[in-house]
Amino acid sequence: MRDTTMQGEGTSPLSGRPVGMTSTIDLLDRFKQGDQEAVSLLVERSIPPLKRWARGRLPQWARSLAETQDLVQNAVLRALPHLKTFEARHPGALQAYLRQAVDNHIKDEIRKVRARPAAESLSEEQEDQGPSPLELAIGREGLERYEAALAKLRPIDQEAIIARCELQQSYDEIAIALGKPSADAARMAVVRAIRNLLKAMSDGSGPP
Amino acid sequence: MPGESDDLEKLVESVADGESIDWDELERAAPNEESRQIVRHLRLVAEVADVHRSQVDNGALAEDAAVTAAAESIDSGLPAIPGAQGQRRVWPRIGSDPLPGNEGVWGHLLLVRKIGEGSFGEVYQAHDTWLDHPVALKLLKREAEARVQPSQLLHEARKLARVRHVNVVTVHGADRHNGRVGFWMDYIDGETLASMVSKGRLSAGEAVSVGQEVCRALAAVHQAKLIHRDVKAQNVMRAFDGGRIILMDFGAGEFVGDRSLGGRAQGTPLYLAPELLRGADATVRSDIYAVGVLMYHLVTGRFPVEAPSQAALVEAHARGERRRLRDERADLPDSFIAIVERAIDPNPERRYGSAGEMEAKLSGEPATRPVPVPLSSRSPGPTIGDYAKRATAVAAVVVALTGVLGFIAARAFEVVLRIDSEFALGLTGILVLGAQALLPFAMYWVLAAAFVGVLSGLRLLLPRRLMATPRRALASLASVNAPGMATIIFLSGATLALTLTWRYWEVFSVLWALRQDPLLPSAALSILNPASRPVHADYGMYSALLSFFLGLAVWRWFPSLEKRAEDGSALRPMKWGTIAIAFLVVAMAVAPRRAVWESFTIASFEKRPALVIGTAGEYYLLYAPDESNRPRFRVSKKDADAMNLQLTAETRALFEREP
Repeated sequence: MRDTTMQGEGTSPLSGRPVGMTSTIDLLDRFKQGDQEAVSLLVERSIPPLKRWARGRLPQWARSLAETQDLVQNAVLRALPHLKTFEARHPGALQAYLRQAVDNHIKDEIRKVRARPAAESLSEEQEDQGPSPLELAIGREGLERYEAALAKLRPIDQEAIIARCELQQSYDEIAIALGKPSADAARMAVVRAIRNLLKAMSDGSGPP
Repeated sequence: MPGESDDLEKLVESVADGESIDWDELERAAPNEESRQIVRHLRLVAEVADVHRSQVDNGALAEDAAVTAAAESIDSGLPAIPGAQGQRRVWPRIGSDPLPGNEGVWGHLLLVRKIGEGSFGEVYQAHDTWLDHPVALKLLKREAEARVQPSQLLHEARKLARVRHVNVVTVHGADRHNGRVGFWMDYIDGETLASMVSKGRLSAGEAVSVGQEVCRALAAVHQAKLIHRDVKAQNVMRAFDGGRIILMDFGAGEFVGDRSLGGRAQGTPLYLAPELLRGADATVRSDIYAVGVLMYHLVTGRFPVEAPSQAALVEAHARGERRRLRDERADLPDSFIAIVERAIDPNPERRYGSAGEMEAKLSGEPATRPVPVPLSSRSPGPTIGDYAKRATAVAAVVVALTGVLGFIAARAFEVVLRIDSEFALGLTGILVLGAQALLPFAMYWVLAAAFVGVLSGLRLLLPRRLMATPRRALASLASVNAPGMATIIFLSGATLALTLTWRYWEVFSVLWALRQDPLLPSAALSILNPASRPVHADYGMYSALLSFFLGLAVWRWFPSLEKRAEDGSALRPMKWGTIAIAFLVVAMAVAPRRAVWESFTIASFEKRPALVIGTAGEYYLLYAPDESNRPRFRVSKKDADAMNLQLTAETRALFEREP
């Protein structure tokens, strides 16, 4: 399944790239200068793909639409103050950063729920503390191995893998996100990143 | 095969492209363990991608396809990136449901995203196209229309419109469009207190700051003859810009005496006052109860009464069960705990009678004086001007203290040696002397402060319950008999000061004796000899430490005792007495300074050794401590040669034995 769709309407007349993605960096700059509207737009852009991503990471109890929405939104809002000092080379870096923020937040939430006595809160539903779909599919060890290897990669490789494998972006989107000249170049970047990931996994562990 | 680089490359490309692969077959065909391991790792990556792809396929894409012309017009700079199918795709909005109405438009408002949802209403961030600014729009849910009258939403809007206050969300208008009733209000760019608490408990100072603003908001609400009835962490927001606290959601509110919403308990059970759970009417005091629960929740993350169901909650209240705030946070100031516990008292008569009364209590508590709330707010810190004022005040205190200590040391010396006033030390000399006297004290004060700081830090490492018992005992004792505690502090200080004076009495007795009898034998002056300096150093150290702890008592303990005492002013004599003791301790330690520590120029006067102990205009004042009659000579500088006076470059202490 190759989806190297040509860029169509909605592209910048100067760069030939879709203006939506390129202006994410502009938004980040505006946000750093204190533009409140930029905050809203950044959040608006970041949340949907992260929400899709988060569903695979959340245990059953937190997978309802509203819960996912809250978790992702809270994580992004928590991360916002740190973006003041965040230097994004391209939109993919911001994407990867926010993905990490959401991941941390999810882990915090799960930890909190596990530590809480069951019958303590009236307003909270009884929670199934089972594994996330991703844990179900590849097991906790597999997930940990994947995460550990991913963390060892160069940022550009991490961003390529997150964009393609986790956020399920097309090569066109990845080209914009990673600042690549074309969808083919983005595809090569993803392939190279996966190769490096394999090497990191092989270096870091015994049999999977 | 995966072991060979070309095959591996193709396999990696297939994974990247999301193609279907028969992993079992591939693993079976792998020629060796190394190849099999690579296949397994690659399979792991493919499965990660599959799981995330399945999440997208499970309807999430459809959700994101809720694209409206409204969003494009609001955000004309960002949309439109080509999607997988080559269609124009606009960045999706946050809302989980398709936007209501016609293409996300409701009257003159363009809906941006859903930001909240309740049982019968939903709130959107919207853009007011007439006034060109963001607003929040509350709409009645379509599915709720069967059970909720649209007028109920308008009722809430009317209630909100009656209250104009900086800490209450402002409603701008209400209308019906596309068959849906709604009203729009300020869009607050911030976070709810619930969200703040989810990141960690607040400090007492932060909670006081929040509580004050909530009380001010409630005072305005009550003044408008309204009872809010649903004060809770989810309904209070803190604006990112400036940290303002805003009370929201008047859906459960009612006019005082109005029973149109029925007598049943409304609001969130954990925040409901026990009398409401028993069926009583909502009152100002039930709102106060909710503020108390809110503050309890902010500092603990929990609630004073918790239960798994509403029925169990009612029973828990009936049994008088309540988790004391002290047991949850033993480190909180007593005054803060007292305020919260009073607000959540099960007996409404014992609670604060009004939001204003509670706000005043929160404002008037030095121990819980509000501090700027950090987190995501951007409230301005101290300005350069503030720092300059503080620095000036500190400098003034240091200069004053230096002058006073210098004056005491200088006068003591002059009195003991009967020096005429014309040879008294000038202002510069006094300040220099004061600085020399102050320096060792300052050093010990800093060390003592550091020691106290470390002790405080270590205290945090101890189990809370271990600290809670002595703290409670002390707090209880202080509450029962604050004047007694103040007297104990004063008497302890006085006793230690007397002990210190008694221990080093020889210093003062010798100085006094010398004043009385200038011919005192040198052997009797050994305590003033430089060889005795270690004794004076010890005396200085003990004096510095005692004065530090007496100062600490005045600064930290007396205010707390004054608050607990029935008549705080009755404790003032003890406080000023303690201050006087601290001052006397320092003054007495400083008094012998010149006689013991200062070095004077050695002179030869008529072939006899003497020390220059002062100058005034054209005259030197010479002192011969080793002479049998310890004469003081007043010698004119003009006559120095004639009188055979020669100053040397050497110096020595006053009572240092001549080598």
